[in-house]
Amino acid sequence: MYKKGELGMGMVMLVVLPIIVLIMATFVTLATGIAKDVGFNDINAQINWKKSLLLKNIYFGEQEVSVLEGILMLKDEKIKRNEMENALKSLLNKEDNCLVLAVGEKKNPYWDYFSGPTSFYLDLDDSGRVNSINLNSYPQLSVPDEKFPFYEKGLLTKVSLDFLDSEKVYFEYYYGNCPEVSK
Amino acid sequence: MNKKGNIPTFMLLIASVVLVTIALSTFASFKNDLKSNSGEFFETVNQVNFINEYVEKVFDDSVDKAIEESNGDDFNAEFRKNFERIVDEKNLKLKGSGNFFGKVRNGDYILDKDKIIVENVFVKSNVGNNEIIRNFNLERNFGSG
Repeated sequence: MYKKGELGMGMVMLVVLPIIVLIMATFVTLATGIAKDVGFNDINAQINWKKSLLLKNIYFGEQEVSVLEGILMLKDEKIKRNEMENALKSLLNKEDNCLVLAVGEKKNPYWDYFSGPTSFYLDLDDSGRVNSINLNSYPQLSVPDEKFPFYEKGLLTKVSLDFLDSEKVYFEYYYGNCPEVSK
Repeated sequence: MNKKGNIPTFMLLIASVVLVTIALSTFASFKNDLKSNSGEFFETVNQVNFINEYVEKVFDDSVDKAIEESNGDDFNAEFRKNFERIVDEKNLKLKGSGNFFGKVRNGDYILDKDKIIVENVFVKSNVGNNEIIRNFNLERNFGSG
């Protein structure tokens, strides 16, 4: 019969099989390195839009408007920045003691904080005092995340809106309990 | 030795090398655009969800305010007038807010004794190649609170 052939094949297999295993191992290693990481950590999939900061009501004197409307009024210079800031301060309480609102015409306005007159960063401390941080006055802080890691912890809610008479506006915000700072 | 017996084994080796090479080159040449695609998709979803809530809020707030301001003899007529005015005031000219503001402006809604219904409202979001259109009815019963 073909006993010699089978013996030869078996001997060749002894050589070939380890080579195949080696090739497969190389494949897995290379494939793991080559396959690029797809990051989804900036996507907050469970957003309760009913509680959205942009839809909260704030007051300018007697006038009741939503935060979104307030931002548009600020952009149109119908109100001043400090009026908007004071209105936003009224939203802070013990449970929701941090408010970050970054608005801009470029993606990720949170990182354009310095140039954003329509961006706000407020927190309420234990003594009931509201701290408003204007990063223009804090050049040592390169990004707001150095104070509270909103971005790093994926806490920012992002939404972009198109208006009939203006550019697309990007919003990034956080409204809730201040995250702990990891040092 | 029977050399013919080695041919399939060597073919196996060659096939594995070829397959591995093809798979690796496919991986290497894969355009890693998933993040931006998924980013656009989530932007579209976020936008339509937000606009949906925005329209519902405008509707609810306007109904509340119109009820407050309508205390004359002809409630329905007064309510209609106030409701349409308030909704118009609250129109931020947001693209994607669909037909709600137009419907209210044209009086295209049902106002019963104690109920207001705006039927077949839609909101829309459009980012990149993604588009989401959402249809719903707005209804509010204000008869006995």
